[in-house]
Amino acid sequence: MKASHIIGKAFLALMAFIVLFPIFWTALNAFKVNADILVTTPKFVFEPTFDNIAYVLSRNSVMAALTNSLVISLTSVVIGIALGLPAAYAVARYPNRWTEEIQFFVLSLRFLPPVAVAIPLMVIWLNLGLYDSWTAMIATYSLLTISITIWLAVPAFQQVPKAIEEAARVDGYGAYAVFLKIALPVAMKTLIGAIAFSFVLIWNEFLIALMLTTGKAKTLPIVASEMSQVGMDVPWGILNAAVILLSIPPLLLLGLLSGFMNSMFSNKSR
Amino acid sequence: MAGIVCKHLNKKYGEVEVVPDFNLEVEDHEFVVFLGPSGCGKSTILRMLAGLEDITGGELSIGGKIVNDAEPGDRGIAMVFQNYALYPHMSIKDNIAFGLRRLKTSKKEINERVDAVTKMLGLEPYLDRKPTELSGGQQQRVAIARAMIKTPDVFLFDEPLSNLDAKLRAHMRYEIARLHKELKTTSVYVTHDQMEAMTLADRIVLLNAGEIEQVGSPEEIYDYPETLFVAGFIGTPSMSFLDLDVSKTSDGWTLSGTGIVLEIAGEQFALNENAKVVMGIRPSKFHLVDKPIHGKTVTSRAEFVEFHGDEVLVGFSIGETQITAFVKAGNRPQEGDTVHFAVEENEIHLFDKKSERTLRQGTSPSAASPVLAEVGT
Repeated sequence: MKASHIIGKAFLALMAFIVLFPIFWTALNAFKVNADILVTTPKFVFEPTFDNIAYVLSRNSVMAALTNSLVISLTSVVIGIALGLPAAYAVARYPNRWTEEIQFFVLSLRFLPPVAVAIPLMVIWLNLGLYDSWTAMIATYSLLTISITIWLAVPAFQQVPKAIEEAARVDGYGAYAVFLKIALPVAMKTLIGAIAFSFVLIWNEFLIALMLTTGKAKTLPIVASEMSQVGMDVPWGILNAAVILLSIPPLLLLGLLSGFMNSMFSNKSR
Repeated sequence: MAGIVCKHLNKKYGEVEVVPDFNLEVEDHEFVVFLGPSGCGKSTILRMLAGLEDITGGELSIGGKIVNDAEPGDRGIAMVFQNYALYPHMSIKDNIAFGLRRLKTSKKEINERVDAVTKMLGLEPYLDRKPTELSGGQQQRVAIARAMIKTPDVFLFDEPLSNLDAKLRAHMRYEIARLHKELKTTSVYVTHDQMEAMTLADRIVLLNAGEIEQVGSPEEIYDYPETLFVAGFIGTPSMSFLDLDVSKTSDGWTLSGTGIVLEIAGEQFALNENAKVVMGIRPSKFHLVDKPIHGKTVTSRAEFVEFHGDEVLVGFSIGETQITAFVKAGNRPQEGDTVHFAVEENEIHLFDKKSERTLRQGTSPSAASPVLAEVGT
C-alpha cells in the first residue's frame, strides 16, 4: 500500500473517531450510575445499570412526548410531501415571471429567526383555542416541511431530462400522469434526501416547540431538556439515556432511507 | 397512415419569430427530411408537428384532421428523440409498453406486440434491463421500438443519430431505412447531417433561418440547387464560388473575373448583359487537363494537395478566391505546379448576385413539383 493510501485511511479513521466517539461515550454513560460518571479518570469498565433507561421509559411524560413527536413529525412531513412536491414540480417545469419570487419567498421563511415566527403563531393558536395541540404543531411544522421540501425538490425536478417527460406526453399521458409516473420516480433518489432532511429537522426542532407547547403536545426535545432541570444534582446518566432514546427514531429512519437509496443506486449499475 | 399538411405555420417566442411562414405537404408513406444548420428552426417545426410546441399561427393537419390544439398523444404520432429519452426507472419492456398501457390494451396483446417489435429490432435479450445498462445504439433501438409499437400514422425523428459514433450512425441509418421500407409509415426526420438526409430522404426540405430554401429529392437538391445557400450547404467539401461579370458575345456569353474568362453558350441560364453573377462549381467538376484552352479552362498554381485516398484535393486560387478541386490520386500535381482545369458548362451553377437565386431556367425537374410553387412566396 502506498504512503498516501495509509495517510488517507488514517485521516478517515481519525474523522470517524471524532464523529463516533461522543455518541459511543453517551451510550456508555447511559448505562452508568452517577458515581461512575463523575470521576476524574474516565471509566470504560464498570458495572452496567439499566436504571437510567428504565427511569426514562417509565416516565409517562417521555412516552407521551415520544408519541407526540412521532405523530407531529411524520404528519407534517407527509403534508410537506403532499403539498411541497407538486408545488416544486410546478416551479421547476412551468416557470413564469413569478417563479423566482416564489422560490425566494419560500426560502425567506427560513431566514426569519424561529422566535419571530413562534410569537405571532403562539398568539394565533391561543386565540383559536388550539394552543398546545397536535393540530397547532402539525400546522406550524407543515409550514417548515413544505418550504424545505419545495426548496430541495425544485432542483431535483429540474434535473429530470425534459425529453423524458415529452416522450411520455407523446405516449399519450397528461400533465398529472407525467408528474406521478415519470418525474416523481425519476427524481425520487434526490427527493428521498430532501424528505429525510425535513424529518430530521422537525424531529430535532426545539425553539418553536418550546413556545407552542406547555403540556399535552410537548415533543421529545422539550421533555429531554426538562430532565436537566431537576436541581443542582444533574442526573447525567438519565440525561444520556434520554439522548440515546431520542436519537433512535431518526437513526432508524435514516438507516431505512439509506438502504432504500442504496438499492435504487445498485439497480442502475451492473 | 396519413399525410401531413402545414399551411402558413408560424412560431413566435415572444417577439422573436423563429418560423415565419412554413408551408409543406408530406404525402402518405413519404420519408421527408428537414435539413439545415443548427438554429434554422427545423427542430421547432418538428416539435410543432408533435404538439410539444404551441403553434402561434397557421394550420396543421395530420391525416386530414386539423390538430393545432390536439395533445401530442392524440395526434397519431410517435417520436424518437435525440438523447433517446427512455424512462430511466423502467425496464426496457416497460419502456416499450408504456404507451400501450395508457390505452388499456390487454396484457396479452401488449406482450404480443412487444415481442413483435423487439424481434424486429433484435432487442429480445435486453427486455428486463434498465436503459442505462444498454449502449447508445441499443438505447436508440429501444426508442425506435417504443415509437413503432404504437403503430402511429406518422414517425417523427429529432436528430436520432447525432449522439452515436460514426460507425454506429451509419448502421442505424441503414436500419431506419430498412424499417421504413418495411413499415412505409409517413416519416419526418430532422438532421443537420447531409449524409443522413441524402441517404434516407424521399424528399429533403432544406431550411435556413426558419424558411424553406428548397424542397426536392436528394438528386434535385444536389444537382439543381435553387439558391446560393443550398449550393453551399450541400456537398463536402462544399462548392467553390466565384463572383463574375456577364457580357454578351456573338455566339453566347462570357463570364469574367480576376484571373478567369469563361465562354459559355448560356442557353440554360437567364443571363443579362453586365449582370453580376456568382458561379458555383463542385470540387469534383474541375477536370485536370494538360494545356489551357481559352475560355474553357482556368489556370492557377496548386497551393496544397491533400490526400483523400483514391483522390486528392487540390487547393488553388483564382483572383482572391480559394478554390478546391478533386483530382485522381494517380494523376496528382505537386504543390507549386501550374495546373489547368477544364470547366464544363453543364456542370456549373450560376446564381444572381443580388437575389442569390439560381439563374438556371426550365431544366430543373423539381421546378414542376407542386410543393415548390409555394416556396419563397
